[in-house]
This record gives sequence, C-alpha cells and structure tokens, in this order.
Amino acid sequence: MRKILPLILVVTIFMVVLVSGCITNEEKENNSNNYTQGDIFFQYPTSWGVAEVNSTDGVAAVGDPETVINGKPTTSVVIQKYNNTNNYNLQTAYSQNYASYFNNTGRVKVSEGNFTLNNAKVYEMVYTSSDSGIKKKYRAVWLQKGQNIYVILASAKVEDYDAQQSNFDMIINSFQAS
Amino acid sequence: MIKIVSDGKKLNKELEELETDYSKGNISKKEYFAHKRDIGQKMETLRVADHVRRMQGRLGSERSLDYWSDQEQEKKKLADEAEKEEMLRQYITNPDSIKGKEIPSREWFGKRAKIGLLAFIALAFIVGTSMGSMFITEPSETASVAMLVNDSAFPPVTANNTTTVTSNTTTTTDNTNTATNTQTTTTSTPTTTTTTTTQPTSNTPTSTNTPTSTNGTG
Repeated sequence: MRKILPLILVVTIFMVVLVSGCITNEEKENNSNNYTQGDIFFQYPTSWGVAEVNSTDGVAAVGDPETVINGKPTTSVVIQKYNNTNNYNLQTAYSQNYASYFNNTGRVKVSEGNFTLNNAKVYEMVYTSSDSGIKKKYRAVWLQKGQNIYVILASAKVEDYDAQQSNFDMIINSFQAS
Repeated sequence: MIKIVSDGKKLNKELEELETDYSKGNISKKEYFAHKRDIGQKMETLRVADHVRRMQGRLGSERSLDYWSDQEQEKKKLADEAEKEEMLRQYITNPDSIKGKEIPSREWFGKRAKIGLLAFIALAFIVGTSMGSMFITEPSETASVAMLVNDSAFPPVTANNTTTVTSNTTTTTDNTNTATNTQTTTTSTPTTTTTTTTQPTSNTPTSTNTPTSTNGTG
C-alpha cells in the first residue's frame, strides 16, 4: 500500500488537471471550427457559419451571421475554383483576371502583391467595390494546389474590414486542397 | 570531595591489580612490596585529607568516603527526577488525562494524514468536475441564420448583339443566253448573351467542431 500510494496520488492529480483543461470557460474567439468538403479544408471562426454558395464556380463559403443583410452576410469568405480551360499558370491566370477588372467598373484597386503561403507563392489583390449594393472591401488570394487554381475571396464592409483580418487570416492560412 | 572518592577507588583498584600480578608471578616480591607501600602512603594521605576536611566543614559527621559518594549520586538522581516532574507540570497541562492512555505512535498520524489528503483531492476533483460541467456550453455546429454568398473574384461576362449575314447563290444556264442570277438575302438575327448565373447548387458541407484553442493563427 505504501508503494502504491504515491502513484495513486500522482494519477489523481493528473486526472484533476486533465479534466480542468477540458472544461474551461475560455473565450470562443480563440476556438475554431473545421470545414471539410471534398478536397477542401479550412478553419473558420466558431462564431461564423457555413453559407450557401451562389458565386461563379464557388465551392465553399462561410460568413458572419451577425452581419446578415437581406439574407447575405456582409462579412464573408468564399472559395472559388478558377475555370482554367486555357491551362494558365497561376500568375497568368491572376493577371488575365484583373487585366480590365478595374476599367470603368466602379471597383477601385487598393493594393496588390504576393507572398509565400505553405511554401508556395500566392497572389493577393485588395480592392473596394459596391457591386453588392454596399461599399465593401475585398481581399482576393490566388493560390494553386496541384493543377487547380483557387481564389479565396474575403470581404467585409469597409469599416469592418480591418477588424476581420484575423478571421480572414485564419481561413487563408489553414486552407488546404488536395 | 568527589576527587578524593575517585582517587580512593582508583588506589583500591591499583592495589587489587598489584595483588593479582604478584599472585600470578608477573612481578617480583621486591616490586610488589614497593608498590604496595606507595599505594598505602597515598591512601593514608587521602584519609588524612578527608579527616581534615571533615573537621573543617562537617562537625559531628563521621561517615566514610563511600557513604558520601553514594549520597552525591542519590542527590543527582533526585535532582533529575525533580526536573522531569517540573517539565511535565510545565508542558503538560493536564497530566491526568494522559495517564493510563495509550499515546498514538508517529506512524498512525502519518497514515491518517495520507488518508485525509487523498479524501481532499478526491473531493476537489468531484466538486471541480461538477462546477465545470455547469459552465460548459456546447458550440453550435451550424449558424442559426440562413446565409447566401454571391461575391465573386471573377469579372462578370457582359451581354452583346450579333448580326448574321447569309447569302444564297442561284446559277441558271440556257442555250442562247447565259445569265447568272445571284440572289442575296440578308437576314439579321439578334443574338443576346446574358450574364450566366448558375443556379444555386445545394452544397452539403461537412462541418466539424473542434474546440481547440488557437491563438492568433493569422
């Protein structure tokens, strides 16, 4: 009994700590939900929900239900698959898409650039537009997974855009496609 | 006084050892008598000194040296016992309460403490689990509000009108005259291409909730 007693004590303390870690009232902003459909996977904030996709070649969409106006969330992220019938590479597809995107369309380019995400080069375009009837700011990230080119389009009202960057980053950084 | 007693005992012991050595033949007769004489002189000196001290400090006391040594030891013993009683009286307020009772050993105390500690930990575990389960809230899997997203990163396809021109050619030949009649008809067919809008597709996503703590993944 004397030899087992310290072991029982250690196991009991371990169980107490283990259970305490599982039942915590931590802020939900630090948690995430997983989205998995087909060959697409990404994480999104727990306060958001999955939305119905009505975008051209859209494969997935999530949005903040707190920002819904007329059934459409003003803060949302949609994943679109580029229709690469001409077998463009990523840079060509990106350039072709925006060749006349801002010409007499009411859209205003804010910035563009490229960076490395998961050891791959991706292209980013930031612009504002009122196509949806509300002036919103958009962040389009173009990336290539295998033979497919995906566009992650994150958008929010201009005044909400900066505050949503961490949520957009969560989705973009966790995006995976097979 | 104690020194005289110890010297006396020492001399007696030396005398006994001398007697033993002589009886065994370890020393000669001459050495035996010489040592004996020395010891006798010392003992006589001690006896005289003791007598003088007695005459100086203890009138009417004609006891032996051994008597006084025993008295000293007796006094020591009594002093120790008195000290013990004093400590008992001072530090144990109610000594009668422990008399006749069996005082628990150290080992028993340790066992009780361990059981108490285990019981406390088990109680803390149960209370903590119960309180935690009261505060836990399950995350919702899907949004309660229906949402539709139609934003697109691709430019929309614009509408245009096209005119198609068709021509019919008829050739007639005879013996006298050769004439070629060509009739050309022009038809205009307006073709309108509108921006295609795909019908809403029903997606059935699979959303799994993982209450993992991610700190600033962005």
